[in-house]
Amino acid sequence: MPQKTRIISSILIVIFTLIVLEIRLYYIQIVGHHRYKKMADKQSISVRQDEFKRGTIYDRNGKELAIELELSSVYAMPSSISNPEETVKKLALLLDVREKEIRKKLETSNSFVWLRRKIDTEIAEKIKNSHLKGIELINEGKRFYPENELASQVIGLAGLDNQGLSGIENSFDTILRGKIEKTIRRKDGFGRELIAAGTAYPSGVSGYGVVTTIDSVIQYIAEVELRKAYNETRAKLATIVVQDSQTGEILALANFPSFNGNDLSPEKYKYLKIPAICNIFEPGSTFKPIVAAALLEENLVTLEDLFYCENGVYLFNGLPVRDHEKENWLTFLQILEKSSNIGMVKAGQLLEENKLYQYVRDFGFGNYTGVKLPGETPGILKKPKDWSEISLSRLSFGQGVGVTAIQLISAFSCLANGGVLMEPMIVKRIIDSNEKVVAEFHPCPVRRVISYKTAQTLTDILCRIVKNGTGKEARIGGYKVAGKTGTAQKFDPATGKYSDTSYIASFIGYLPADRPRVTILVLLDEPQGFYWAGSIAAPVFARVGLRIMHHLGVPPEL
Amino acid sequence: MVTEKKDRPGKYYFLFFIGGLLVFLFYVWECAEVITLSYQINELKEELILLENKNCHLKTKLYRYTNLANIDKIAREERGMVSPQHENILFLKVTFKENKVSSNRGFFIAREDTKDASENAHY
Repeated sequence: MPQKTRIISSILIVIFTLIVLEIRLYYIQIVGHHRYKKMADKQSISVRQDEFKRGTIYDRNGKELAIELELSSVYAMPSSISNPEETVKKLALLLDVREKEIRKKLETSNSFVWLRRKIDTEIAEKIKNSHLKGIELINEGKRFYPENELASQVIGLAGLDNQGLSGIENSFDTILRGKIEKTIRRKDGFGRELIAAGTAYPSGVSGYGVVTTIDSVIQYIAEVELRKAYNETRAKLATIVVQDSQTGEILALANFPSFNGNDLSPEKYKYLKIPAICNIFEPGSTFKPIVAAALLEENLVTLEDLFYCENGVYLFNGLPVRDHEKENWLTFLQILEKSSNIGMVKAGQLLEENKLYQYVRDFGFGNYTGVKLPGETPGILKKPKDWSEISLSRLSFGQGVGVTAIQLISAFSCLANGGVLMEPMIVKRIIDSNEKVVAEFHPCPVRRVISYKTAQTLTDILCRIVKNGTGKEARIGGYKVAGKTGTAQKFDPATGKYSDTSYIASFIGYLPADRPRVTILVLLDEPQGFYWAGSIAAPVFARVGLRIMHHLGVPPEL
Repeated sequence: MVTEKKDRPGKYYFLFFIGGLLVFLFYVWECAEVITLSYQINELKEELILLENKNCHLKTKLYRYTNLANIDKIAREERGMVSPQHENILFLKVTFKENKVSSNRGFFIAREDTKDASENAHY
């Protein structure tokens, strides 16, 4: 072959090769641009969702009741793991889980998989030091309740993904939650994060703090006494609610059994609901002051009016009404002092059905109180058109009406503060991370229910009940106490009758009676053995009341 | 003999090339530096995570000691303390103007700000 031909052939081969390469490059860079870019991005870009610190829940004095702690969570990027078998073995050892479990997780086609969330610091450190390729640590918030069981049902619980499940954690979830931001992260071939120009970094805005009206010392006093009473009476459920008589602020709301928010056992989920606002019960004799208030406000009775109490048994529309003590003639004041059901039935007949219904509604029964806690029930209060012939008589001594503890205590606070129904408050203010007030809640009067004069008369009656009547055990040396006992038979749906063995023993009162500071409700559901409220609930009230007076620095008056 | 100074365009090309090279090298150095710093930031971030975890561990411990139930338990069981009886408590009546009154016996200070019920009855 002549030299010239060889040169031309070589040039043609080179040109041809270059053309082929150009075509291939054109195909990759122009035609296949999107596909290859997508493939590259899939390998190097990840979208991470950051949720910032959940806000703190405080008591009224700034004590932390729920805080956010930063804990490590370990995740894997299976495609980046170079030696899967060795990684599985090491992780199984470090995380104390079976190799099989980890292998299963790593065999996924996902680019991201959680291995274990919110692990101990020591384990996190060991994982970091083992330098496993494709295994990363990330900080996540974990809810911690510094006071353990204290006010656990009111504070509530936040789940693994920081969502509020119950209590204030749930009702103020949107306020407590930190800002959720998505950011795009680019990684190099070794899985290390790269900071490229224009990378947007999260702002790190945490959630607002919630300052509750709970006083942790009063809450603690209530819980200690509640536990003691629960163990002594072997009740099914015990509740103590303490409310500021003037403002309606809830100072303590304790229920037992309860749970510890830090406890990992699933048992705690049984106790998430707050019985004081979710459970309804027939109040029994603690309802009598409400009916008495209506009678006095309407000037239908005076304290000296006499009623015949039928020697302990009275047939009303064919159904017997019984008193625990046989009485003949009693004044209206004595009816309340001795808690006579028959006397109340007879006095109650003086009221028109609609009038009584209106008063009961005005005291807040049969309606939501507006307390900012989840799961509140309005209770049961039938309209007069649905009442039977015996409804009014039963209502007079607290049967045929379903109330919640929060409704009952709010109604008594209304008597204590001179006749104004206040909305029960559980949150005082919302603050930001610099403790700057974002929103403030003020005591909210709902309506005036009775006159100041009637409220004072009722307070005098309730003081007499504690001094001479069924509530003697609630007396507190040095302080004037106004209160009422209630021993209510529970309705048995199986028999359709009131049970002779299941009772609700309660005591509700306020002190100091002349200038009420706190209203306290003690409620024992199905106490075993001795069940009279005057003997089991009233002493609890006295112990709690005295300690609260000391804590608040209220000097004795007597 | 007068010689004319000849224009030497090659010199300008050379300077232009050097300038361009410097800009390019600066760009490469900047990119490399950003990457190195981002690796360092990541290292520090991981350290921060561990330090935050340690801090959280210590906080948990602190709260375990300072919660009300634990203080009550230590006071009663380890220190043998008892709750004060009503007669052990002495109340001092002070007004806010005199609130500088101090006592080394830790008396309860009675607040005078409790409003009478009638004062709140204006709805």
